[in-house]
Amino acid sequence: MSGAAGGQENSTATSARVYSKQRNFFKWAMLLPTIIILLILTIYPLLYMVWTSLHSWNLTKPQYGYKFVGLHNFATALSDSRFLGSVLTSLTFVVLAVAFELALGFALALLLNRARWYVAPMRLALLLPMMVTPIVVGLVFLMMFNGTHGVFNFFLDSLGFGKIPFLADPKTALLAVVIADVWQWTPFVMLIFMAGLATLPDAVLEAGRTDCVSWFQELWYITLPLLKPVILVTLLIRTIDAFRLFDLVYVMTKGGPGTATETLSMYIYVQGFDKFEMGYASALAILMLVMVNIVAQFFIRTIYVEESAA
Amino acid sequence: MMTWIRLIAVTVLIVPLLLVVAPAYAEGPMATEITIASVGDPYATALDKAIPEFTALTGIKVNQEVFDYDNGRKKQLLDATGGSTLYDIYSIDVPWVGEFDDPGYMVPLDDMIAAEAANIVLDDYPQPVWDAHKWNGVQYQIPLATGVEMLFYRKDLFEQDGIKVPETTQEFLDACKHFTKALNPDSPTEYGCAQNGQKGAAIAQQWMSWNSAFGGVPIIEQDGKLVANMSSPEGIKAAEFMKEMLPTMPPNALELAWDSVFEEIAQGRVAMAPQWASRVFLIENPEKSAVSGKIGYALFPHDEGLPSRPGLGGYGMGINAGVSDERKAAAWEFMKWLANPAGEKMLVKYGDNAAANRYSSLANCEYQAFYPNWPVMLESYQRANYNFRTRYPAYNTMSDALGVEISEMMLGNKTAQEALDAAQAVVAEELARME
Amino acid sequence: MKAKKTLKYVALGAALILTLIVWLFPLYWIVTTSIKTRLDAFAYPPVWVFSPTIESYHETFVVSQSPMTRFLMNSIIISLGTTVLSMIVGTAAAYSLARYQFRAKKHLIFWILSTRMAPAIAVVLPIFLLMKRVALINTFPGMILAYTTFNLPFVVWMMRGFFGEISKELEEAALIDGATPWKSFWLVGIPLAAPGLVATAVFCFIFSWNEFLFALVLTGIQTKTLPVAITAFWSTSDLKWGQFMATAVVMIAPVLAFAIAVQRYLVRGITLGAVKG
Repeated sequence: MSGAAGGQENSTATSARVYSKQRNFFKWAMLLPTIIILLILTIYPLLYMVWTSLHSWNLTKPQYGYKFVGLHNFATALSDSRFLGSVLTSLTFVVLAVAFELALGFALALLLNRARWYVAPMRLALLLPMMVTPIVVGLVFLMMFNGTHGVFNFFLDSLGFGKIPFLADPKTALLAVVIADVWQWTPFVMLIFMAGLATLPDAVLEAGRTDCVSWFQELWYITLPLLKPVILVTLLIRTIDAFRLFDLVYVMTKGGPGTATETLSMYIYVQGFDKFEMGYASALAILMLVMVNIVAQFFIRTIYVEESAA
Repeated sequence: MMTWIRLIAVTVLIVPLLLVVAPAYAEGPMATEITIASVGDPYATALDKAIPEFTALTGIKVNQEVFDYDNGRKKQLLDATGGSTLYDIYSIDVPWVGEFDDPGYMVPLDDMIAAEAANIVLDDYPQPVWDAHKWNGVQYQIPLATGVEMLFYRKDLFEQDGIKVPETTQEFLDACKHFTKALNPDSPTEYGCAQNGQKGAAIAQQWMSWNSAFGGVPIIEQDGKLVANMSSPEGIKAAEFMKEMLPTMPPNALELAWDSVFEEIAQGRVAMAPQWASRVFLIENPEKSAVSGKIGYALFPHDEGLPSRPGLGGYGMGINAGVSDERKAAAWEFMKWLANPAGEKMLVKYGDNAAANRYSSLANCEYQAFYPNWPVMLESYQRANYNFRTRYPAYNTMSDALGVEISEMMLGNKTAQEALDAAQAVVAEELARME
Repeated sequence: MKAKKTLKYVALGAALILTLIVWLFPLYWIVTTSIKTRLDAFAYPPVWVFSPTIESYHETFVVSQSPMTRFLMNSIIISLGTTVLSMIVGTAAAYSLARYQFRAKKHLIFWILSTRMAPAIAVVLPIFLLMKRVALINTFPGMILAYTTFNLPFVVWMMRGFFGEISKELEEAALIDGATPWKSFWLVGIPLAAPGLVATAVFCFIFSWNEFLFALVLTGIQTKTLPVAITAFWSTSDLKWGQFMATAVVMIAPVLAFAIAVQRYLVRGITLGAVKG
């Protein structure tokens, strides 16, 4: 058919084409199922939710119809005091919970940042709360915070402080939920900081030590700045997770007493799965997504900085 | 090479198998002929015991799924509005009747009832009890567990102090004051009465009871449209009346709801409490109450010059219009097996302490032994107002709105007029959506 | 000087013990209440010394007709199902992303991360509506797919990280030797990434096992999972604390066991690799 030399070249070129075609096919074949599933499960629902948010629609009252109302739901939301209140509650919760978690977690990380026998078992013990189902955490704390026969009140009473109806008093209910969250996630913060501390270059720390700095100064002027990227990552992860919290609130207070602990997630749940106002709930959910997205932007950028630095 | 092929083949087979087998499992070992949705009231327990007899008789297996009140309504509504036909028989509380019957979710029963008239004995039902489950002249449900509101009072204390049993709202208020220590140092009890006061459905329902006592109707039809009417003169009178009674109630009055109201009278702290009739069972039980044997029963109070029209509630059984004809037929078999004098007797036997829907049940000696308040129940049934909580589909919205507003009024943050106007506006908005 | 040092040690010891007490007390409470008798569980003031019994476990899981065993099965089926599906599909995608160039990589990565950030309530709303339309509510395939929504991006992200760490050379060598890209992946890539695979799978399982909101909204009595089932214990005034605690123990025991097994990867798994564990 072809001369020896010509045939050789052709087949190399051919096999090269075949080869890269093969690789191309492979690379797309491996990726495609994921893309398809995610298109169906995330993009489509998101678009559907945007579409729904432009309508007035009660799922249990189809006789009221499926009416296009444009941006009316969003306008209502911005003047809905219960919605605004829930955002405030969520923010309050985030500030309180994250502040405590960061402070406590960092303190614990410092405490365990040495090569001692007890570090490994303690780390193990402390990772357990993180993995407990949040619902169980909520229910146990619900039990322990019980106004009349909870364990916490038992201790308070024995010490002479009298009992506090934690979850029935609007002033203390949110704090109780914060405590439950802090209990569960402080170990997480601790683990991250421990990882971060472990990667600190010894050389820098050594240099600091020889200059006769107090431990506090070492902490403040050397350790913390070095840990900045870790602090940022932790701050952002916990902020977003605390903001979207649902399980604890649902199981401990259902948003009560009244609306004292009604976070944004809880309020959207009430609108969507209590009243079945799908249009309004969708609009609220979109507003929430926008809020989370703004914070997430920072997070993603921070990760990218990490990635390219690593 | 072969091993890899085998491995891939096995994996590829397992996952789809999971997805294919799963739906079968989802319909699961509980696949039965019919399924009933029930709310966790005593009738559900009685049904549980009665079901095996039915299955033995007809070979139809019956599943019962029991919910709490809130979820009962939601899950049944969701089922009715499409996407699933999980339940064949629904339990419809009287205020939900419009919500389920109006859009046509329930099967009209008139023809089937007519065919079974001899068995069912329609005359055995007090008219209001039967009509409560009629909508636009068509019967959609059969009464299963009727309840009526009445007054529980400490007859021993009333006799002792020579106080007349209250019939009018004014007499009721006076009696409350008499039995409040703070207002009357000689009072044998701390407080005069206990009622629902908790923010939400509890206090909303309490207002609805008093609204009815003063002759008010919360939602009315005007020129073919539904109009919210809570802020009527009667409604405002009712709200202000509730405020007036506050000093005669325990300090935690605004946290009380059904069970806790019961506790107040059962533990002897108050002299009177409005209750659903079925609670007689509990209050006469020495294990559950400290006042058994000391309780008297009276018709729910009414305003001067108006007849007493106690509130009527309770569940009716109806058939899901969305299921297949075979399932509908099986469902009707079950319903007609219960909807006759003998069927009710059986439910009483199984401890259903709200099974008295019929005259014959109330006249039954065994039953009367359980229900010392049966004479009052009888009279209440005949005069009952089954619309006191409205049966129009906007009931839920009305309950939510009132729950918030009446609570605000009781806390002193709003006047009765303001509170009711606000609630009325919310309901009006909902009703406007029906166009 | 010595006194100062001893004081330091005592303070340190106290701090450590306090820490342990605070973080282990609730777990201790759960376990002990689950082995108390009915009376002891209810008792106030709380009973600290008691004779243990397994009656709560018996009542909850063994007594015939108990639905809790069924819910346990449901949890297992759904968690396993979604883990298998997500791992298979996700690992393939991760490998592709790790080894090959794509133009829209950044967008893909953002999309994957955003599902980690999204509030569950915002995701479950439209999914509930769509599943209702196609009658997938209260079915196992429905639940498995719903959970895959967040498991899949997680798997892709994690495995991409793991593949990124493995040096390409062995795979390149295999390719040069004439293996197809698939073979290179399957015979070289996968075995090398095995520890990462196991860790990721465990995380998937744990997330699905613990998940609540999706289960609350998308399941009915046939597919109800443990987290939803356990909340039912609280609604009645007749608190069955012993049984509730027994269920809680059964719920958290496997998770704790798994977590201990993959603790090396814990930080990485939860921060999506932003901080190396």
